[in-house]
Amino acid sequence: MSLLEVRDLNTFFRTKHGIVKAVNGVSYTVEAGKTLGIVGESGSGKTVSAMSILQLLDTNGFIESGSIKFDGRELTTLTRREMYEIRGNDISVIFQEPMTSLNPVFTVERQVSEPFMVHQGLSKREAALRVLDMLRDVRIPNPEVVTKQYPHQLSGGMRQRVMIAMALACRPRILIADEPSTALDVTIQAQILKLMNDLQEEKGTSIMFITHDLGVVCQMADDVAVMYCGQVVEMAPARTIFGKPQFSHPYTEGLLFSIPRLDTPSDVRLEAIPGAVPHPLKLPDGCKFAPRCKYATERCKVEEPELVEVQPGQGVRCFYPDLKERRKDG
Amino acid sequence: MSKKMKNNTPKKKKRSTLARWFRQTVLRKHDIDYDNPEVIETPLKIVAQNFFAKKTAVFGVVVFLLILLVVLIGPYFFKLNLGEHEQTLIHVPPSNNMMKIPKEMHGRISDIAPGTTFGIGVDVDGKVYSWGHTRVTERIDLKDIPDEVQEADLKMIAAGMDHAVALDTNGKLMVWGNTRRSQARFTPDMEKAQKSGKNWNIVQLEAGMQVSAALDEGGYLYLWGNRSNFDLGIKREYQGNIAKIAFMANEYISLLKDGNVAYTGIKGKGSPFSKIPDELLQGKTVDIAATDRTCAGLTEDGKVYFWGRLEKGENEMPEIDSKIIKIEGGRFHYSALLENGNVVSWGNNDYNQAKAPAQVTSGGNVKELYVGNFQNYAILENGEHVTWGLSGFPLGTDNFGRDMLVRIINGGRVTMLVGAIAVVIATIIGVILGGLAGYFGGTVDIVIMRISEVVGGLPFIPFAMILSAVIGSRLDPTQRMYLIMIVLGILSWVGTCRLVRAQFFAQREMEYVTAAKAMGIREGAIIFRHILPNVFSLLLVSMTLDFATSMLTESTLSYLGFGIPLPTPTWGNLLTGANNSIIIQQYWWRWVFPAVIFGMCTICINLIGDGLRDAMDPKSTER
Repeated sequence: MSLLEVRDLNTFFRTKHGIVKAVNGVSYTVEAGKTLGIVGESGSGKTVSAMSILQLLDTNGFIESGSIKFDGRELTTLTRREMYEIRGNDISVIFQEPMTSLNPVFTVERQVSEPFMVHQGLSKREAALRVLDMLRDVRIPNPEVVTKQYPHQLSGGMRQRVMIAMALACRPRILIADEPSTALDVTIQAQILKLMNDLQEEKGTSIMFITHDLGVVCQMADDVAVMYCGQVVEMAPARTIFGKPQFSHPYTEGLLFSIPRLDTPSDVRLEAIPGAVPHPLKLPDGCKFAPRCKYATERCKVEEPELVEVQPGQGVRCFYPDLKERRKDG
Repeated sequence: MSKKMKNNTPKKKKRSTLARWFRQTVLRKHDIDYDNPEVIETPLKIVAQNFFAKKTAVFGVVVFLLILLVVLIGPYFFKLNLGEHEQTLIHVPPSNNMMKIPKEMHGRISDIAPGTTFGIGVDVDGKVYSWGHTRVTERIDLKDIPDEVQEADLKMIAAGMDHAVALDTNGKLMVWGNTRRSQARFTPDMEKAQKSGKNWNIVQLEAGMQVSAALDEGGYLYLWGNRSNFDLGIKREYQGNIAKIAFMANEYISLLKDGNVAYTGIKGKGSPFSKIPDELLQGKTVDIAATDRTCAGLTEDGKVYFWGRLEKGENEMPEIDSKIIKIEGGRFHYSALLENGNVVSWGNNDYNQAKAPAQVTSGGNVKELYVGNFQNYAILENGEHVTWGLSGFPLGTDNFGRDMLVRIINGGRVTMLVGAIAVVIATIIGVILGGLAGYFGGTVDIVIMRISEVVGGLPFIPFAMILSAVIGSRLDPTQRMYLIMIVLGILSWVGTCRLVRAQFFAQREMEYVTAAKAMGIREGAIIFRHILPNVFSLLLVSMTLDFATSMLTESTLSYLGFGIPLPTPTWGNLLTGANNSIIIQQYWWRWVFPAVIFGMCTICINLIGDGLRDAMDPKSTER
């Protein structure tokens, strides 16, 4: 059984202009000890679907329907109090912006010791010792000094390490990493990703890795879910997507074409996906990607495709999942 | 690191000594170079550095701390007596000259007539001088000694509360000072005696509260002056039989020629002073003296007996190793000249009038002793003089004769206490409601904001006046003080609430709040332990400024008479009297001093608040 199973999740936001369907029938699973990469453009519902798991939505957001099962336990029906126990303890989050996700007036020690004190009921002194261990675990040099410092005295990479230390403090089963490397420069990004990989091996934590960077997903993920307009358009093992796939969603295809590769001939222009993500209140009928899809037919504009399992382990939400056939027709 | 080296190392930033001290003691931060090139600076330390780099802020802190220190410690040294009412010291201007005998008289004193707040003296050449607070009204001033007195060959002088009497060798009586209360209206038999010279060989001249007395060698007593309160009369049976008299506040007693003491006034047995101790009725009394409400009689064997209303320690005479030869009464104390040339003083010591200096208590060379209300003058054998007692009030007195200095110091304590507690109450309410409204938003916010609008919309002064009038009338002054604190606190949290709410709106969107939530931290802890510290700097500024405002509001209420009632002093109700032109013009010290210190205090608090704001706002330091 999967550690985390999200089924037909619908998360909506009430706004002045109507209901925004930010997450629209999303399903994915996270296996124990594995990494699920969730890829998509901004506004595709990656973060919202992840935040729905912890029920950390803004006040106008709500889970309309669907089920989130963590270790066989339904999370959507838990009370506030029970959710407090899950958060930070069983499921933790690392945020994108290490700059702002640490409280500016707390020292590192106080930040990192908080989960120990809240979830494990440790005293301040005991927690402080554990903090040093945690900081060593995330490869922070001279933790005795860093522990007394304030976030603004740390570099971005160090801050993200502190964030990771904080998130992993209570040995969570799942770590939701919401674009943890986006705000970092490339060398630091590589270090952080390596650290996460190492920690996953050491501690066996499952990671849900949210990013818009296909390269990072390729490096990190075991499975990949590609999201578009609040839906999972393709779900497949990373190897399948980044290898030579037989089946693929046109969106995934477009994404892959839009990144430069070493084997791309120098005279070939990178292909961009035309158009923009539709406004969340004016989603098209039929396939959500149809207006931007170069393979779109009349059927696509009227009828909405289902996520179809085209081969074991791979699901594609398209009427024409076969890459070769599609290209021939187009 | 040696001191020399420290001086040689180039300083990154010049710091004042105070700022360095603050850094080292409060923040435990020393000017040490770390191996780490990036010196560790906490936000608090940066703020403190910025703050102490500002001269105006440091000035504000220093002056405010000085005022605070005076106000906190002062009351232990300048004790407040709420029941204080000293009729003779009303509206004394700031002065220190009540016992300051003019230089011209030094060593040449022939006679001194101590009054209430002044003194009149005659030197060996017969020239008359005055010193101290001599002004009675705008027009009348005892300093203006009439020419006839100055030119006359004076035999005796006496000074009362607001008038002075002089007698020349020809038996001519002269009165100056305030004469509006019959102080200069001689009785017909006096006029007769003065004209004829019969029974007019005056041996004692006395002046008291607007009354005067002259005693003839033959025992005839002449009394004149303001009869409205004073038992100014003599029973016929005693006339011609009097050896000495002594004035109390509203009565007098007499020593008769037969060595007995008698109450010779018209009241007779009706007066409390007529209960004279038996020892003084044995015909062996040699001297009498009186204070305001007590009398003392000295017998041949050197014993002193007291009677009357002995409330201020007038009878607590110390052990005396010599024989008393002369006893004199002040307003609440006695001083006595001993045979061995020493002086003892006892009784009430509010103004040090019963604390004779060692020079006269053991010097053994005192020749003459004069005692005024609160002043003592001892003339030594060598002609020099020693004084002790009340020399003046540095900040003057008010309409009850209370020392303004004492009242300003004690009033400051009340005002600051009320201001501080009101701010604390307002801040607690404001932070809780503002925090809840800002964090949760939505309905909670709407409800709390409507409540705050209602409270903020109440007209503050009228509402506080009504509250304190309705509830306050049933309360004693202390409870009323608490009421004012609570009323101020409850009515002034709106600003804090709005500030906190606005800050929370901004802060709750920050990722660290989401991160804290994701860590499973409960909402209450997030509001008060995670977000509040981020808002605290602004809160501190607003608290500082609110403190000044609360003090001002308390003063406004007290000034209007709806705050803390008199006699408890506050900086506000000290100014209460200053609502008519007479006080504003003539008794300027009653409002200038409280206003100046209060103004300084609030200005300094505002300077501190502004300094804090600038120190905490990174943008303003760039300016």
